[in-house]
Amino acid sequence: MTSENDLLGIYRATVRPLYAYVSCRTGGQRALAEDIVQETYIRAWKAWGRRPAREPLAWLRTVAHNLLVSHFRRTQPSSLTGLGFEPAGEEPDLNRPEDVARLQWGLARISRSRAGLLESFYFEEKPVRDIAAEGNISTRAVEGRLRRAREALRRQLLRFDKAKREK
Amino acid sequence: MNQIHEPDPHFLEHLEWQLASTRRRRETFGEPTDTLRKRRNIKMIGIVLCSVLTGVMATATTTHLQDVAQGKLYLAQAEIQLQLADSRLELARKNLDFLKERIAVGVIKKEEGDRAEADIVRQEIEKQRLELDFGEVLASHQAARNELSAPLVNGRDFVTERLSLNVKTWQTAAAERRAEVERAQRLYQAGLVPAEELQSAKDAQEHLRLIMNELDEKIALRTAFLRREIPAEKVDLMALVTEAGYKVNRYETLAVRAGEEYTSTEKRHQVGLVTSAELDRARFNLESYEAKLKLALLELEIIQANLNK
Repeated sequence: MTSENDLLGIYRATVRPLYAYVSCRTGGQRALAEDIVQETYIRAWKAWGRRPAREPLAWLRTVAHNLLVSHFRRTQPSSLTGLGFEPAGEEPDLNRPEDVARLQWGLARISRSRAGLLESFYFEEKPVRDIAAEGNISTRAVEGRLRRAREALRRQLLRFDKAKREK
Repeated sequence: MNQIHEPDPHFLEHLEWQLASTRRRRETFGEPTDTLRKRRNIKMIGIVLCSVLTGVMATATTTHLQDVAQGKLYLAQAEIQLQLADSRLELARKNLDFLKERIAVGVIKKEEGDRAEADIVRQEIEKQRLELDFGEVLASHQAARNELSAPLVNGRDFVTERLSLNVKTWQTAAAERRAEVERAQRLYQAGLVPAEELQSAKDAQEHLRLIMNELDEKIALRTAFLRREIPAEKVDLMALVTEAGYKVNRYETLAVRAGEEYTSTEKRHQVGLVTSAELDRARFNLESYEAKLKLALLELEIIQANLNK
């Protein structure tokens, strides 16, 4: 069984980067970020009974990300407020919880590959050339994919607006 | 770092205490072992799995760590899937023990136990496939690759190993299908089921034969590629031709069956034995399979044209 010292050592080494990762994706909503981080570690403790993951922070981020997606899939549009942003022409303000919630609601409803691309672009602020290098494709291909991903996001956010107005 | 994304020190302290005490409680009192807890865990892990399948991961924040972080992420994903497979298999084995007890006292039929055993075999094969994926990610720090033109990883041919595992899976299914055809044959000869049911069992068996043919062809292509008999740019196209060919065969069979079904439904409709809605459904099925067949033929044509360039 993994020793308490080992687990607490992992916790201390990973909690700040994990919290920052989650908080960025909740627009700084402290209560939500804390809940997600807490739930992530509880699940990790259960899963790492015999031995911890080889790459604990990557494992924790994976689970935290999935909890975020699940949370925003369940979020009802009527519970979200704020004017939001126009994906085709504007960048979301990642310090505004309303913008981030709207963005995450949309990301949870588009394809995995498009959501991942937009995540890299918005939350990690990765330059297009870096995304292209990672995927071993041209920058032009990345720009095309980004454009299509933003259009897909925009369609979802229009649904969100419509649902709010019909409330 | 932006202050807004710094955790509250009280939260950190409390969470550390909570995790440490959880660990100590588990050591002192152990984990509960009842099936209900396992089912809850599976449900919880299932939620994680669904999210893994729908979500995409973050990577390192500095350029020079990007590849390393991406590799760690793939490893984390592969590890989670393997843990889930382990849990599912454990639950399936406990379920089988439970069923065997019930079969022994005659409360349920033996077929249920047979189905549960077949399910365990499938899950064991699936777990082996996930172990292969994990092994490949560990060795390459990249996502597992299934293209026939994928290179060896540290001298190991993961692509063929995975294809061979697929063959094993379908061989298990083939044995079940054979048994189903034999059973349907007996029932039909005794007049207990209509001819359509026997035909349906035979169609399912034929479908399986097509799948296994496709896998055998892919293994042969992969072997030829590794022997440098086929270049990389061609072998993936040839695999696509194989897949497209399988689709054409499949939809041809389904379209023929749908045509027979429609003809029979039309006759019954004329004498008032079926409603217009049922006739429309039969027509829709036929048109749907004919459309899919046309698309599959077009796809095959396009791929073959690319291959012949």
